Amino acid sequence: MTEKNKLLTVLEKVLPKDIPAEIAVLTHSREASWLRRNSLVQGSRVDNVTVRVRVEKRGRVGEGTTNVFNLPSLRQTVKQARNHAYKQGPLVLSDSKGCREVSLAPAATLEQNPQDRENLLSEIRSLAGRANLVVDGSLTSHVAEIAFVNSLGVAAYTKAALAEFELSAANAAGPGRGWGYCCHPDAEMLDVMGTFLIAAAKCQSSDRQQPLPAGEYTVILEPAAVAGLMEAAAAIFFDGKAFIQQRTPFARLGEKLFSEQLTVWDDSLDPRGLQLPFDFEGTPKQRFSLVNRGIIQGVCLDNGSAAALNTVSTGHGPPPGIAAPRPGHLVVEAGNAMLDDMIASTRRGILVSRFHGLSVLDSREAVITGTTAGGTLLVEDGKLTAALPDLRFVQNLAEAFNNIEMTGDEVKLFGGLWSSFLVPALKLNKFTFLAGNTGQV
Amino acid sequence: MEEEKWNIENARPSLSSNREKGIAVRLLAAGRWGFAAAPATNKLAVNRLVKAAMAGANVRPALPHPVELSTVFPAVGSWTCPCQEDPFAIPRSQLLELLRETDGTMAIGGIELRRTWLHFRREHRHYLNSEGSANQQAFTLSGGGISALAFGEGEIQQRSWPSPQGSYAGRGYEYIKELDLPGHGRQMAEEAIALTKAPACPQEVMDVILLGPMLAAQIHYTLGRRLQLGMPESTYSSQLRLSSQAVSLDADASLPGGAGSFGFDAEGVKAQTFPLLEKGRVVNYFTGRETAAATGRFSSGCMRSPSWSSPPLPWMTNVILRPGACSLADLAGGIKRGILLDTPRSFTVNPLGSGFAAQAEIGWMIEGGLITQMVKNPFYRGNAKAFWSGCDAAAATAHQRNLGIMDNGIAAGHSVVPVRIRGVRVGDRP
Repeated sequence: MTEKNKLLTVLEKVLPKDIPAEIAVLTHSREASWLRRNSLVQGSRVDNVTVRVRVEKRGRVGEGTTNVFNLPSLRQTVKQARNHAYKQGPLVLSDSKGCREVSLAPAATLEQNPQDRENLLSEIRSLAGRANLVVDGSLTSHVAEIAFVNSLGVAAYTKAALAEFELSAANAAGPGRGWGYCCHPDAEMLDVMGTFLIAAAKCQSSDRQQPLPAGEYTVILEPAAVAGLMEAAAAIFFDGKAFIQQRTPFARLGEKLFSEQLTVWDDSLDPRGLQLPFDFEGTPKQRFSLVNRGIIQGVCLDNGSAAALNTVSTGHGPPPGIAAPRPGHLVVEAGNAMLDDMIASTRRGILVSRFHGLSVLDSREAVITGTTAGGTLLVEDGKLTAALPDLRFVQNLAEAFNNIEMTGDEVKLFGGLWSSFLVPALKLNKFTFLAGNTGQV
Repeated sequence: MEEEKWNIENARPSLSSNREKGIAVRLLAAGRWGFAAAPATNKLAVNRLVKAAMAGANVRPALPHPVELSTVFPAVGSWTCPCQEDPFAIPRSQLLELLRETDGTMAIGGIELRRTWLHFRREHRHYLNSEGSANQQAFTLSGGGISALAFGEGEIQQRSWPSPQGSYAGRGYEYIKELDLPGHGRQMAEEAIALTKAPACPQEVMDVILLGPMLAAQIHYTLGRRLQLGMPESTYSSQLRLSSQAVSLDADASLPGGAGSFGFDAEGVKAQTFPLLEKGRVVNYFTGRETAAATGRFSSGCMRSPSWSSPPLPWMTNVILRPGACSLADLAGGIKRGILLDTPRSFTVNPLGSGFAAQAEIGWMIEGGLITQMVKNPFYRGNAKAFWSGCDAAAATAHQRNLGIMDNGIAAGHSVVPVRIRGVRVGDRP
């Protein structure tokens, strides 16, 4: 029996027949090798299962989860969900039975073992040592299955895989820092060495740092930095529950909030990304427009939030443990500028590798704070001229996306299995950095 | 592990529960760690986990500098968290009544969104190692909180008790009663509405008093995290000074009812009590056996993990700020112009923990030693060491509060008294 049949057969057995109900199962295996100070110090493997049961009983919805996947435990979880039916119903169930089946679990990712990972990392460790760099990071392979059944006869299954590599490099003798990340469903396509070389170059070029006065600057955001801002944007602009609760900066769809250069959609079927054919409520996925030429087009809805707006789910039923419907496979439309063009056209600005510690200060005002990280460089007269320390900013995100000057011509993939970002570099004007950027009082 | 999460949002209650069982194997082979975890519970599964952990550790080439562990005496025993009222035995009707009553106290004109939540977690942990340590522990963690949100012109103002993330203790339902959520609902709602009409926090360098949860967050993120030896934000130095002489901190993993209390850590080392900061100077760290050995120490017994499926890390337990001798009025009395900050709305740190930025939910201006008017959006930031070097006084034991912060799934306790910090850059949020 395949995993698919095994999972679905067990779920059908425990699915209540007398009341509306749904069961979602997520199995996740994660194997990782951990680098610390240029040494591979730990290999790990974690397998887990999450089963979420939702039922409607007398107009109220109950929910229970467990990680023990056997019939007695599943039956007990169903019973718990029945006993926990306090939330105002009804339980809105998906009735689309046409979920596309995709299996994106390449053999290279499924079969990668600890020695394979060490072999990939050994050259990096050797190069880092010779360059007097200290490298920390992890090389991970994820394999996951999702199975879903409900009382309306929906039964869906998919399998997905992801390999990812993240590292930070520090100069052993100076303040220089660099960061690199790459991910791909196929471990064979993972550019581990290229990612290291970028981080090492950032590290070496950011070794002599100079302070920067407070003020508004043009910023060139590399794709990792754009992914960070988009994660904040997903919470502020595209969360359907926040929209219903009027916590979003806009009251209705169709408002022009951003630059015409910004077009954003969610597409979990994009072959460049991590494909997922249905959400965690069994609703088939489709491309969904969020922003079209600066105009807000949609917010993400699961079955519950869609019912509150008297419409249908957009296919954003969140995974177990997550309460808000948000884009899980966000894509920003690429433009036609190369990163070199962005730098060459900048009289004075800042190249940002990524952001760290992003935090929303007020979602209605769309104000966020955070710092730059992983290598921040000063651009003067079209050239990278100096390294900067990590800079603290406070910025209105709507204004930031309204000040897009150029959009990169290539998109890069970031994120995990259930929350990914396919984004280009962006050049923005008037990004606000604070005084005392090194954090001095 | 079993847990229940109760929530009520604008009079709509919900309950979700979770049960987990898991086994983890952590081993050292040829000086390298191997870790494997899975939900299964039979003997075959354990053998499979040992194989997986060995495969993770046994890769070629061998480590040039194998991991070494500090020596410990094998510890055998059991430990149970103090729990007077089992939260899982409280009738659901009683919990629902508490939620509804609390929600009702915040239901006044001008409040758009009201939230009350309770979280109960019980864990039974069984531990065994190859050096003769064995223990069984039963944890009960209870937490809760409330938030009232008022929507002003293009903004949201919120007030929470004790904080937006609530507060936790290693105790039973009696802790929820002590939090007195219904008793604070009305005040939080009224303050949230008042904040929508309050002036913005002025932008200047001034003196600051930090209270309760705001101070707990400040200590947690800018001192506690820097003392978790082996984590990215921590640096070892035998002569490290992190603050002025007014700040002394102790760690106590055996504090009865502390959110970060236990009998034995995740390496089987007994819970310990020790000074962390003596008059601003670092005298010890949160360590495990590996980080202790690397610095020539014994483990301080602080290896913790958020769940059975995560390898343990050196992490905070309960952090106690030693009280001073002042009253709150004394602290304010020594300020010509300053601000009193309460309840963290946002707290973020720089990549290596050296700098931070935070926003309190509410600020109260202090002028000529007196607390005057309410201000909104009090944002402040600084370099952590420079910030704490400005601390010149701590309040007395009478002002002490015990709080618990859940950070990355691990609960840490904080026992705090209000402190005064000189010369903080406040209010430069656009």
